[in-house]
Amino acid sequence: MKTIPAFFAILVLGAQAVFAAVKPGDTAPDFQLTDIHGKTHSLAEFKGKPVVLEWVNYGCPFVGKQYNSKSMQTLQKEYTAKGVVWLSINSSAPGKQGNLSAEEWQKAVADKGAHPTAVLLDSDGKVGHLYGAKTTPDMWVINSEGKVVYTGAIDSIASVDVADIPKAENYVKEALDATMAGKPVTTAETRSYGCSVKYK
Amino acid sequence: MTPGAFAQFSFAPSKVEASMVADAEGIQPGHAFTVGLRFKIQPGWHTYWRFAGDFGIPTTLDWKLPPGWKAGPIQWPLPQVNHDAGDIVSYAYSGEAFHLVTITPPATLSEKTVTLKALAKWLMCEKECVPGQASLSLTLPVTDHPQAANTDLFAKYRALLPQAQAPPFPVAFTRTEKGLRLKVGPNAPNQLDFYPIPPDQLPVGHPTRLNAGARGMVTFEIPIDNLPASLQRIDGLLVQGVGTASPKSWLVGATGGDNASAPGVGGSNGFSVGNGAGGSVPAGSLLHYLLLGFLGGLILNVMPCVLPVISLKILGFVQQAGQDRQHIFRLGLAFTAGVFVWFIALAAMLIGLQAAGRQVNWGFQFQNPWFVAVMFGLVLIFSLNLLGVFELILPGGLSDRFGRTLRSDGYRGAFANGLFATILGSSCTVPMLGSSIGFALAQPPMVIFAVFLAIATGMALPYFLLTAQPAWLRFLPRPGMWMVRVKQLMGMMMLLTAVWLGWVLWQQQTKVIEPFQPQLTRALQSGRPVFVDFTADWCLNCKANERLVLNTAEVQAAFKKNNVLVLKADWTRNDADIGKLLKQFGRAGVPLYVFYPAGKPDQPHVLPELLTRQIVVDAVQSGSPAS
Repeated sequence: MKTIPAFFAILVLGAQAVFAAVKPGDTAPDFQLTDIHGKTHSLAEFKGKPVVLEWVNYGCPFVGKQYNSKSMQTLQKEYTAKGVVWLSINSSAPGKQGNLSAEEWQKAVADKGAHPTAVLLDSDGKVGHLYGAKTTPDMWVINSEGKVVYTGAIDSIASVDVADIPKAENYVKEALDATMAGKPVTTAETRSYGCSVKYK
Repeated sequence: MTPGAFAQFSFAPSKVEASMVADAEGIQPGHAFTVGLRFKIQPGWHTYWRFAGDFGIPTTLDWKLPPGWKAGPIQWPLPQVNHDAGDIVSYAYSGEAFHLVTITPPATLSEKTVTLKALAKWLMCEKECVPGQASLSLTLPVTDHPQAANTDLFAKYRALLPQAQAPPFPVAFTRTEKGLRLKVGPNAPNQLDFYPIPPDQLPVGHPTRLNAGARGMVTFEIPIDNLPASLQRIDGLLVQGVGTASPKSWLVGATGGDNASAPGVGGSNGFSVGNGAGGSVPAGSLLHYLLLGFLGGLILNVMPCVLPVISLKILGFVQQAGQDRQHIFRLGLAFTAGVFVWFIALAAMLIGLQAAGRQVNWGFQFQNPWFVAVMFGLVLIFSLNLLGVFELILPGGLSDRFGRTLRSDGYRGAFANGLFATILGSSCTVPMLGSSIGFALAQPPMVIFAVFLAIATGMALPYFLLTAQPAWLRFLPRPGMWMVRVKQLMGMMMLLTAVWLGWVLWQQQTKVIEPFQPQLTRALQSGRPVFVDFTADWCLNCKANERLVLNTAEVQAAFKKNNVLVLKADWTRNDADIGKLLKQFGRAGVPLYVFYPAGKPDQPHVLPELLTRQIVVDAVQSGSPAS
């Protein structure tokens, strides 16, 4: 007769799960954020198009490496022209590095010549936590069916050296090229590198 | 220029002042000596270890040596583990960092002095990250009898290097479906942590220590997604006594000392069930729960809608097969197969649910009040059903169809009987199965299959035995009122469980959570010894330890006698401070018991999860861990 409470002991002791970050093969979870022009966007509104999520913080030297070399802007321009939706997301909490006002963001984006579809503000870190973003940059590539096909670093050389950009493999470019040609993505997941996301 | 002099060029107003020193005042040809790259780091800033963690870049040193000279790799003293908001872990140095390198001069040297040059590059982070670099040089005279230099400095950091020998306990990696599991022991020290050193590009999650195995055994779960087929182990650092005055560490893995062959997966002892918040089901207990599943399956036969059927079925087989014992037995086997098919199908459906659930990121956490509320509701309904408040009835048409197949002869009939009898019996058995389903949803597929097979075995056992020995039919209990009583009794127990869940839910809603860190700081500043009980309302192990050990007269007296300040770190509602502290001690969940001796807030002693009064009393009295 002890089995009933014991079954519940099993239930209680065993029942929990660990939330993992969003991984290749997962359906990209939907979210809603406001962009730097005050407009609200959701991931669902871009259904049917490939989407890139780029966790960004212009003050971080690793992000700086990509933007000072113009590598990230070139990628953004090239792929948004091909119909890819590029969302730059900042999850810095108020008072922490990278948390700027909408006006400051607009100026920074213009200064850098950045070309994302939208820059989204996630200052309470909800979407960052939802996806498990740990660094800036931290990248997710989502195919037009809404499935994640790549997550991890922007490229293969973890450094702040602009000189390393031409030597490195750009994983996001590879993933976008493959998925848009209907081919499987060869490198689906890498370890991201960068500064930490400045959560609350 | 004095021996060991240096020059430095920095490219940024640096938060890190870099210099290079040697452990000798001169160089003896052919004799290796050690050079140290020393960082003086501004408060609040960090530089990084050979594996930086979730972010950061390890320091590098590029040597420009004259021909014939050799420089070894950086030897890294023990880093700190930093936890930042957002579950971000990094392995870093603060205050001072010291990187040792062995330099080997050629066998003969013609020069009177030698200058060694190196370019150091690093990342320093505080609220932001800034790269740093410095060109350093070291000029030393050549001599046959070099005197030692900077002895204290080198001794201090040599003591923090990994031990040269292999660890004095076995270390073994196994592959699991979550990544790698690192089993340490027997004779593993109680306070043990693992810092991974993964191969480049491989994303590795934070190692967590699994709760309570056998004494002297410590198991770490290292989450690795899409585990490469060829990966059997990773490098890492095993650290004993983090936070104490003299920690010890060992390099393990592919290039370290892995001095145990991987254990053959013999039976269930390679299996650990569950992890994370809420107290996991430890390895040895899988056997325990399989046993419970088996017993549960057996008990299913006693349910009013099942028991009368047993003797009927067996007699039916006897009729069909006459005196042919073999035939009766085989009919019984076919029947048993039917029972198993039902439970396997159930398990498969649950695994499908689980996989689907993972896609939508379902959480099954007792910290989530919604989860507790749903469980409370389900348990309440099940208990009312068992108590007879309402019945579950299968639609009439189904019953007819079953009736016909039940009467057919042969193996197919027997199989169908087994399958349908079990389904028919569902109306009584669903309440019992409901709890296993709840448990199973959080477990890996293998465990789900195992538990359901155990239940099926229990349920099918009578048929198996009775068709092997139909004569034993006379030992079968006669159906009667007693079956209803059993059902009611189980209903009562479920009701009690519902009440308990209701209480947990109530506590979660009404409890006022005070942030824990200030409480701990105040306690540590008081100068008294401090005993911290990390617990949660839904953690049965914690409650058991509290009832059976901590709240006993003996332990309470020991606390009083030694003026111990007892703090409860209540993690029921997922207090962020407590979560951070758990991580600092390398734990993923509760229970956790930590004792800080009086006036030594930097020397916590971690006690085992399975407490005895002796352990607590010893720890408190001697101020040192008992074992």
